[in-house]
Amino acid sequence: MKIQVKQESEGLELVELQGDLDFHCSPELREALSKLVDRQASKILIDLKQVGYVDSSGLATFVELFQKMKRYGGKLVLFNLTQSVRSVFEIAKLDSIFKLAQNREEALTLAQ
Amino acid sequence: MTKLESYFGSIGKTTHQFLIEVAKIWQLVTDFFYWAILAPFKGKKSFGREAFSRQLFFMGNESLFIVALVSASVGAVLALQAAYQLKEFGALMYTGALVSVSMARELGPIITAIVIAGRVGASITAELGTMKVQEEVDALVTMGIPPIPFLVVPRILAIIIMLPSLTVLSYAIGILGGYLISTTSLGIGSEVYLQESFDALVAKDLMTGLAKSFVFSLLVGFIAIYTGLGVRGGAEGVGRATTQSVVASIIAIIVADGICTAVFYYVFP
Amino acid sequence: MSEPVIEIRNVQKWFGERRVLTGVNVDVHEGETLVIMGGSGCGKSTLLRAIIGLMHPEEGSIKIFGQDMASATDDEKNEIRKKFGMLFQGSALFNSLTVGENVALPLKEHTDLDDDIINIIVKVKLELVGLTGFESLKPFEISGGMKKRVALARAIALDPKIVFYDEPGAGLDPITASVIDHLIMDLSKKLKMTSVVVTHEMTSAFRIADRIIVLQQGKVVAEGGPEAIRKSDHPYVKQFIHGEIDGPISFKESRDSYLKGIFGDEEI
Repeated sequence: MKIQVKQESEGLELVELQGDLDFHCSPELREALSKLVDRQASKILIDLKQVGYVDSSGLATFVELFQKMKRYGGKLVLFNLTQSVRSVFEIAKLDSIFKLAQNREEALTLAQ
Repeated sequence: MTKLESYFGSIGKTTHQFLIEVAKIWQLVTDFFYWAILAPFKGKKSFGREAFSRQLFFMGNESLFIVALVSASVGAVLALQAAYQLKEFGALMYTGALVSVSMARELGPIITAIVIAGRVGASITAELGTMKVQEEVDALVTMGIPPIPFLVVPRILAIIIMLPSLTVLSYAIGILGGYLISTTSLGIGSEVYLQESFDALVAKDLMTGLAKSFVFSLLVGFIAIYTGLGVRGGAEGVGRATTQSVVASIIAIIVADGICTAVFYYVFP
Repeated sequence: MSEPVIEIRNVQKWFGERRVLTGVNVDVHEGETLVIMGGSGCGKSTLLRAIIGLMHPEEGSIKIFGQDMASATDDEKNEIRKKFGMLFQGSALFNSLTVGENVALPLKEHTDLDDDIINIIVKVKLELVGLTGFESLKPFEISGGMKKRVALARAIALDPKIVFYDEPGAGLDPITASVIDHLIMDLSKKLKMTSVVVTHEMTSAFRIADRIIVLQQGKVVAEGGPEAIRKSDHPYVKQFIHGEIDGPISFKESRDSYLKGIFGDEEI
C-alpha cells in the first residue's frame, strides 16, 4: 500500500492511498495518520480512489482516527470511495457517522 | 488351540495399543519441546505469555495453602516418630537432623507432587477435557492457532516452575513443623534443634529433592495434559479422565521416586 | 462460471472397516451458499471435517483456493485456515474468555494490530451479529442463540472468504434458529462470503441454500437448486424431505443380522 501525505494549506492535510487496505498494511497507515493527529491537524481529507478493498482493520483504523480527531475538534472527510469500499462502511452502519464525499470539491466543502 | 490363539492375540492387541499410546505421548513431548524451545528461534510466536502467568498464579494460588498445611503436619509427625525411636538411644537431639534430611530428600518433593497432582493435575485434565468435548480444541485448530503453544506449553512451563518452588516451601514449612513440636512438647532446645537441622542438611540433599520435583513436575504435567486432550465421550469422559489422570500421576510419582532415589544412591553416592 | 473455491474430488474416508465417504465430488463456487444435507450418519459432518482439515481422507483430494489440504504443511494449512471461518455445532466458545476476548482471539493471534484497533473491530463484528454491548460477558452468562451469534462474530473476525457452518440450528428453538438462518443469509450477501452449511433441517436448508447437495451413505445422491431438490424423484431424497418411515432408509436392521446378533453363528 502506498500512502502519500500532502499538506495542502495550514491545517489541511490530504492523504492519498493506493492499493488494498488490509491487516498487513493498516498498522502502517495508522502510524502515518497518528503523526497528523499528534500535530492536531484540523482537517484531514483521505482520497480512496485507488483503494479497491478495505477490510475490518482498515475500517477500524478510520474509526480510531475519527474518534481522536473529534476530541480536539478536527474534521475528517473520506472521498472518492469505490462502491465496494463504501459498502464496508454501510455494512458496519458507519456511513452516516463518517463524512463521505463523492469528490474532492465536495470533500473540501464538507471540511469547512 | 483357539483359546491359545485368542490369548496371544489379546496380548498382541494390548501391546499394540500400549505402543500406540507411548507413541502419542512421545509426540506430545516432542511437540512441547519444539514449541517451547525451537519455535521462537524460527520466528514463530512461541506461546502465550499471558496464559503462562495466569497458569502460574492459578497453580500457586490453588495449592499454596494445602502444601503448607500438609508439610507442617508431616514435619511434626516425623519429629514425633523420630523422637520416639531416638529417645531409646539417648539421641533425641538428632531429631532435627532426621526431619530436615527426610523432608529435603524425600517427603518434601513427594508430598508437594501428590498435592499438585490432585489439585492442579486434575483441574488441567478437566479443563482441557471439557475444551476437547466442546470442540474448543477443534475451534483453535480451524482458526489456525496450534493447540500446543496455546494450551500445552504455558501449562507445562508453569508446572515446571511452580512444583519445585512449592517443594522448597514444603522443606521450610516441614522443618518448621518439626521445630514447633520438638521445642514445645519434646523438650529439645530451640538452638540445638536448628543447629542439628542445618548441620545435617547438605547441598546435595537439597539438589536431590529439587531434581526429583523437576521430574515429578514433568510427569504430572504431561499425564494431565495427555489424558485431558485424549478425552472422548462427553461429560462422563471428562470425569473418567480426571480420575485417571490423578491416579496415573500418583503412581508415576511413586515409581519415579523409587527410580530417582536408586539413581542418586548408586550413581551419585 | 468462475473457478471453484473448494474442489472435492473422489474423497473416501474409512473409520476402521466402515466406509463413511464413498467417493464424494463437490465443487463450491465463489459467493454461493451451498447446503450439504442428509440424515444422521450420512457422512456430512465427516465431509465438513475433512474439508477444514480436521481429519484426512484416505483417498481423493480437497483443494481450497487451489491448495491441497492433505499435502499442505502445518504452516500452509494455518495460512489457509486464516481465510475461512467455522461455526461449530456447540459454538465452541472459550469459556475462560469473555465474549469480546473470544472474538478478538484470531485477531490477536494472527495480526499485528494494536489492541485499540482490535477492540473497534470486535465492536463492529458484534454489531453485525446484533450483540452490541455484550463484550464483557462470559459465555456461560448468555443463551445458546447468543453463543451461536458470538461464535459467528468470531468466525468472521478475520474477514474470511468462506464460512463453514455445522448444524447452525442445532439445539435452538425454531425462532432462534430462523434468526440465525437470516443472519447467515444477510452476512453472506453483504460480506460476499461463500457459505458451506451442513444440516439435516429441511426448512433451514431450503431457506438459505443457493444450491443443495444430498448425501446418503457417503455418496452424493442429488444436487441442484432448492426447487429441483424439492421436486426430485430420487427415492431417498423424497423420503428425506417428507420424513417418511418407508423408503430406502430402513429403521430395522435386516432380519439376518438381527438373528445373528442374538444367536451367534450357529444354524437355527
